[in-house]
Amino acid sequence: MKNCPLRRFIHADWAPASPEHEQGRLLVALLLVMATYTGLQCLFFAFATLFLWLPVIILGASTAYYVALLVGLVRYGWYRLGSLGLVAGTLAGGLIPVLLTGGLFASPLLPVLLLPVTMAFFLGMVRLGTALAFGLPLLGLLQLAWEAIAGALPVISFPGSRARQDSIIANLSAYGLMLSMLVVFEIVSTRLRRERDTERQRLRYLALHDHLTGLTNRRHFTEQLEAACRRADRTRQPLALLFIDLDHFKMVNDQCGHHVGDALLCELANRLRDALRRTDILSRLGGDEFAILLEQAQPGPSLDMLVEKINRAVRAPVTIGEQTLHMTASIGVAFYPHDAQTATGLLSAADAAMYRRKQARRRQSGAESDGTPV
Amino acid sequence: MAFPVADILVHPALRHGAESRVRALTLMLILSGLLLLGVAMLFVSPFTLPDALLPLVQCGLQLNLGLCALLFVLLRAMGRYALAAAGTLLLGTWSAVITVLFTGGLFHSPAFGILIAPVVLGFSLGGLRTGLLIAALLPLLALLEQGIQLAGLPLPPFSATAEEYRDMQQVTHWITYAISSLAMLSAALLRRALRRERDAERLQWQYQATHDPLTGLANRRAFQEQLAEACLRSDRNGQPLALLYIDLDNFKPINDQLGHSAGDQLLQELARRLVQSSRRTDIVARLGGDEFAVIAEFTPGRENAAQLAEKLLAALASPVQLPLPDGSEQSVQIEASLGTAVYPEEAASPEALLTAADRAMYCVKSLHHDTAPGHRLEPAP
Repeated sequence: MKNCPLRRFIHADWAPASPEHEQGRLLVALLLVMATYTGLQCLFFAFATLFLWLPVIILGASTAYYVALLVGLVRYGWYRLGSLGLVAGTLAGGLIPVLLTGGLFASPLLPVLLLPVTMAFFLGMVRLGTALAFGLPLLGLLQLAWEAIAGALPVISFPGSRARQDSIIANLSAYGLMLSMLVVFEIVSTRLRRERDTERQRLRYLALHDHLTGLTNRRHFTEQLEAACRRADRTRQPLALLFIDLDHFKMVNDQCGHHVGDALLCELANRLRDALRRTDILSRLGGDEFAILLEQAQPGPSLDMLVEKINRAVRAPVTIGEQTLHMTASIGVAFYPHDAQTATGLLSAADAAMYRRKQARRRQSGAESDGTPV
Repeated sequence: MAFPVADILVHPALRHGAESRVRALTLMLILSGLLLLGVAMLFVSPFTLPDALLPLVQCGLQLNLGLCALLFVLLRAMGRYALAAAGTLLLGTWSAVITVLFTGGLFHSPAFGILIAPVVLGFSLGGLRTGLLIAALLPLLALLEQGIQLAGLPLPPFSATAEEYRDMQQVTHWITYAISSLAMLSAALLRRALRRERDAERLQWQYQATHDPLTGLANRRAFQEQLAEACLRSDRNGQPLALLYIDLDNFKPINDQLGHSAGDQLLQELARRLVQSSRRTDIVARLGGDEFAVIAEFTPGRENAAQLAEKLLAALASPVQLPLPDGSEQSVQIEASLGTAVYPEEAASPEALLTAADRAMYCVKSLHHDTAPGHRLEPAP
């Protein structure tokens, strides 16, 4: 009993976990409305019509019934019992008064029969709801058959009351009940939907971002790149892709340990982010590879300046704990649609340009890097 | 979600996405229900309504049927969902108001119950705000009635025998019942479709957030969570667990010389081998670039862990055939460094366990570097 998930209803900071939990919260709200409604009606009958004890007893019993369902749900997590009990309760609560006050073709209390249908649909039991919606009118046939065999149904009429007034009161209370049910349902289900959407957004963020640096990951970057290529096709403005690979990053990881490597990547990601405009897209493709997407960028001095700026940002010494690291990066640039006509082609073109650059630097073995942009 | 047959019923402009499709279908369901109900009422009303009311009712019903057909055309032929939905709400509301006003007003009408129907329609088609707006109509209706009486305008006289009164009440009750059930059925169908769609999307994001896209193994985030949980389980059942940390020694040159796609294929193949050679209950994860980790629960001692490590290393060591961009294939042999740590013997927390395994792996790696500095990869042709 202690592990019952629905115990958490009482906590405000409860997070949605499974569909059943969410439905459970809805059921709690609906049961509360029903218990309150029958309780109020019981009081009304007890004080307004002092000599009518039958309705008072019935309504009191049904209040206790709903409260029991509520307790079972919240304390012990009996969701199925609660949901079916609610539908059964409202069904009995509709049929008994209707049959006692003239039957399906004469009773002024007929609107109450809408409640079980409403409850079933609200709780997501589409088949049960449909069966009830069609089945209740069919009960009329049953009643006709009964009347043909055994005579008219007994009609209990309230002493001293008039049909019109009864009907108006019955209609008004059915109206109020339906209205409060609809409002409660809408409010609760909107809140649940919003919670589920927040959860979905969180998972989406996790799926599309690199957990270490918070940059977009390869999956997201590929999508963004494809969208940017489509935009470039429309606007006829070229776009540039910079492929950045850190030189000898593996050695940092191997010699100083992973935590230093991770801190280094975070620091460099921050520096790259600072070096770029807000509209540029920076992504960590994996390991020590970063990519930058520049829209409306042409080959020319301004791009060369940006590459130089990135080179400088990477080359500035990084201090992690007591270690100071000096890193360099190889940067390859490719333009769309000049170097490639597809997003994946552009990515490999930039990758290839980066490798050419890396090879060239290796050939200048040990000599200090020339620093001229590609 | 696909609705191959139902698609014919929906205007092409509304077929994009499950939401607009199901919305259109459910509105169609409501409209057809209203049409059927209207036709039924045309035949039933002569028998149940007072004669004085009959011409008015017949006229109103025919008008409503025409409007219903118009809304149908709007929805199916022109694809105007919003307009059709608003039209349905207006139609339902004004029919209910007129019915109540012409049968004795708010406080005397036997048709009072019918006012529930437009409210339910409002909540189902529009949501909370629309529903409340229509519900607010009830007091407004009373004001309207008072206004009409104060202005001295005559409402048509309404008189009915007790029997007629009761019949009328029953008819309006059943109309209310039918419309409300239909509206709620539609709303329930819509909610179910949307919920399924959202859940599927959520599952997809959840998968992507916890798996490495290249190899399909658990990613670093999922690995950390799994490791923490495995340690908790180990605390409870007293069974030690082993963490095997694997780093490929000569992966970077393969990536550099044979290209990224060959490197990716190599990683996929190695991931497959790792999964195959570990036990079913073990968790294999790719922590990044060329690092893998295996969580082996219920590993009673160092010897078992060493056995598993040997098995994994043997699986990794056999050569892999990699296709090259020019169509030929190259055989590549990969060397891996593997470090093992056992919980709770060598580390007291998941983080410490990871660090211990990492350190053990580096010890092995530095040995590799000392004994075999080169890598066994022929230069690319």
